[in-house]
Amino acid sequence: MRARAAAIAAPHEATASFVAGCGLGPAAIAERLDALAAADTEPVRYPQQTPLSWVEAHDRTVVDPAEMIRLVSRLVREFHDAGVFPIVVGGEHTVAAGALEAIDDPGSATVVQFDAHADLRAEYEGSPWSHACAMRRALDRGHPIVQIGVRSACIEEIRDVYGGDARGPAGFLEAPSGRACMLTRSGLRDLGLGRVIDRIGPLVHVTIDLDVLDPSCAPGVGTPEPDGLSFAELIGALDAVLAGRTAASADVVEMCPPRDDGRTALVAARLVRFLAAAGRPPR
Amino acid sequence: MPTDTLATTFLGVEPSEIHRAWAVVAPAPYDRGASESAGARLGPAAVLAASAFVETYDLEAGRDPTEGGIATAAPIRFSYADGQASVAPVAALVEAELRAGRFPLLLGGEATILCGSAVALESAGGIGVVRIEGTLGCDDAWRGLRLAPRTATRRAAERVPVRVCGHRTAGAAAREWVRGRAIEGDIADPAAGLPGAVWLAIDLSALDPSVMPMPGNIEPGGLSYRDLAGAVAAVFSARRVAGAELTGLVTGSGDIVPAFTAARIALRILALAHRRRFP
Repeated sequence: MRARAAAIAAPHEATASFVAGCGLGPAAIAERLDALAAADTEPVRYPQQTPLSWVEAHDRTVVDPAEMIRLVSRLVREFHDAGVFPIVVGGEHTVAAGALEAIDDPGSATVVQFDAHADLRAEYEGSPWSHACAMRRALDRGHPIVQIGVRSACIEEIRDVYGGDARGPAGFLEAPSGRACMLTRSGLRDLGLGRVIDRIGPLVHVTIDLDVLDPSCAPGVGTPEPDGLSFAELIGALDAVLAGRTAASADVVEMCPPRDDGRTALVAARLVRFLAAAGRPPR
Repeated sequence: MPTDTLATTFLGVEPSEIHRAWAVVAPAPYDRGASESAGARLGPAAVLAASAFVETYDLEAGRDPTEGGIATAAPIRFSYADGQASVAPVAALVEAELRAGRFPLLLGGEATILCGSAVALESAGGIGVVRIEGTLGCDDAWRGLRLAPRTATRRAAERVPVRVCGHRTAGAAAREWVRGRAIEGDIADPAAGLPGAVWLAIDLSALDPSVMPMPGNIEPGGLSYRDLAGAVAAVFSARRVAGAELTGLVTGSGDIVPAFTAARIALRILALAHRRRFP
């Protein structure tokens, strides 16, 4: 059967903050996807049977972000042309830029980010392509962004994007430009996804940093943060985001095998298969 | 968010001169009286290392507590020759910081350090203790030690008013001792019945093992992170919090989650204290 979706392994690692190893993430997720296929056991509450192909942007860890972005972008364009839904599997969050580069009209595609961290820094440790800058680069490129589940940020990035007086525990922030909004972790809990769902356009790129999940279900990330989403909560939110929308692409990033006991790889593999089934690529 | 993995300051910020700081983070690496798993003496270093990778802005509190200056003190030095010697250096530090008007946050180490804090609180006067702990801590002695995590609530209560909440285990003698005494509190309003100023003593064993998976913390039924965050917020809403201690981080499993979680809780305490200090 012809694959309807393709996972693109993007083993990029250059700027991990605390624990190195996310360049090994795609291989760990690939192994788990193989095991899932062999086990022939599926979640009963959401579909996972969509044929999925696996391609590698490179067969070893790529340190140069520009090189990895170029490789990913080329593959994403090929899959777009073939009507196949591309899912980039990282690697550092930087690889999301490769998928975004393949979208010719950035203003038409909302980037929906699930992440513990804001990732809005203009640069980090001298690099504009650090994992801590991923969403800032999306904004710079002209994409509207919707941030969900964030529970960690620095005051400079909040002030830069959301304005000078970002104080207040309301759980929802909106940039004066209207091109960025953030539903924090507490905001998601207290206000609900409805607070942002209408701000998401008809075409999306979904980016999932695995640290958005609670460390109890996804401990294998470089910078774990407490009070994350449950797996069911994330699946429910993805369902709501993707319902009735077209997905140009998606990514699942920041898997860090040296810190994993198997749980995170399984969660990541399930997410990839969920996205493969739920994502509707442009015709 | 600096990336110095050998960070010796909380949040990895540039060291503040202590007289310019509004808050002081003080490592208290003491673990002589540990019940289940020793290793809490390594806890402060693990929290400091993780904290360097924690963003400094607390989205829920709406504050960056590094604004105004946080100093990180040199680790308190303890003598392991004499268990009683754990008290004096902690008491001296807390007393000095309270007198200087700074907000002290002790990083344990085991919960025994509360015995030293209580000496300083008694001396200051008018300050009660909110203790959030996995065990009641009201034994009179534990394995021959009068100063141990299992006795810390009782030692503190002998000096100042105390409410303990979040506990899910207690020995028979401890349960008997608290009967008729106003010691056990309510996690929904942890400071109820205490004076207008309190010392917040949190032991990480209060958290469920799924949240704080570390050696020795295996008793099910602990608090969720939200439970704890809610209790901390309730204390800050209801009372002036004079200072705090965060104890019980036991390293050794290789899992980095407990240290990151501890660092986030410490950040939340300081962010809420910052909001009270600078309205």
